[in-house]
Amino acid sequence: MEDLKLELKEKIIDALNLVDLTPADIQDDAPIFMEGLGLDSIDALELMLLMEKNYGIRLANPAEGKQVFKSINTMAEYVNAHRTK
Amino acid sequence: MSEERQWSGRTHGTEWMHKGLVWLFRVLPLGVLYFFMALVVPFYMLFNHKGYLAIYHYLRYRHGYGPLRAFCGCYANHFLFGTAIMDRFAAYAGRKFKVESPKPDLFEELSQEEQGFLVFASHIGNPELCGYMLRSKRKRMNAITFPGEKASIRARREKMLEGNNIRLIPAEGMEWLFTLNAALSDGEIVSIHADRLFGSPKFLKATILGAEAKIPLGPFNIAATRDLPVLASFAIKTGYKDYRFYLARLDTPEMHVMNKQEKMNALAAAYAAQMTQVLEKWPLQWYNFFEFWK
Repeated sequence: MEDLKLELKEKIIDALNLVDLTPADIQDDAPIFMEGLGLDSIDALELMLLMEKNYGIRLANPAEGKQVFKSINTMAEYVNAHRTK
Repeated sequence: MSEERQWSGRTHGTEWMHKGLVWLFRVLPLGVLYFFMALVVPFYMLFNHKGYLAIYHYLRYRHGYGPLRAFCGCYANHFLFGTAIMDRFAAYAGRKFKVESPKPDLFEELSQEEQGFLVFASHIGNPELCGYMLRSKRKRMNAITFPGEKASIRARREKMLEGNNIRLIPAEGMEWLFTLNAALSDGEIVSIHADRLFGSPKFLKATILGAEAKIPLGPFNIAATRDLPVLASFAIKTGYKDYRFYLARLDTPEMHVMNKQEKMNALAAAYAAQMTQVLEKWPLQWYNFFEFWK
């Protein structure tokens, strides 16, 4: 699971071009949107595409999606349970 | 994002006012309503001073009008904007408009492909009427709408559009993003305004009518990230009940090998060029009532 969390952080930094951040700067339980990494709606779409391309996960249910994108921890747990790639 | 560049997206008026308007459009000739509006426009200009000044500056500095011509142009612009809104209600009331459509039909051509595509709308002409003109049997079109629109107005739009295979997605909270993402993954069509910042303060710079302006990064980011074809659409009022519908393909084969940032910039430049071309021909149908080039 720790490897997956690190991988997710690296992919997020790469996809969103967060050049000032390293994986160590992203807390596992910190909120991804707003007060956490400060991501917004454009970034959310990028994260959805990241999940689809890298792990074969399609997020179409808003309620479920909001839970998944709460933190790196929730993302990693969801990927671990639902990945098809 | 400054307050001036933000727009609440709120439809003004109460539900009974909207119902009353639709009723009026059923019983009165459009010309009569235009006439009354022509009398009201000077008062509107007086009380909406910021919007009036923004259009005055647009005509003075982006089109090089003299002071008197720009002042008269402001009146004409506000009048035309009023007719665009009235035509929208007339459409709700079942009135028909004569539309000159582009050839070849790029919309239909792209609809035949497996991949989805984007349609960029703007606050030029009457973008809502574009929706009534675009129809694809093969693919559903998802129109991203501004949040805060009155439920009654949205219901009327949905009723108008139900035969056109169009779904309205209000950009509220985070929910709409998942709906949008699913639509894109399913190869559907997404229509989105690409000339006004909303939802995210991120922007790109593009040269429109010879000066640099900020346009929202979001639509261009979606196109570049997913490598989607993009159409720019404009519905221009050309007569009493006449519209000319413009469609232009923005992406080129060269763009598909560019990196994301290069592609976003190239699409923004292509979109700005289309906007410039349309505004040079129809300068008075520009309906962004804020200092767009600030």
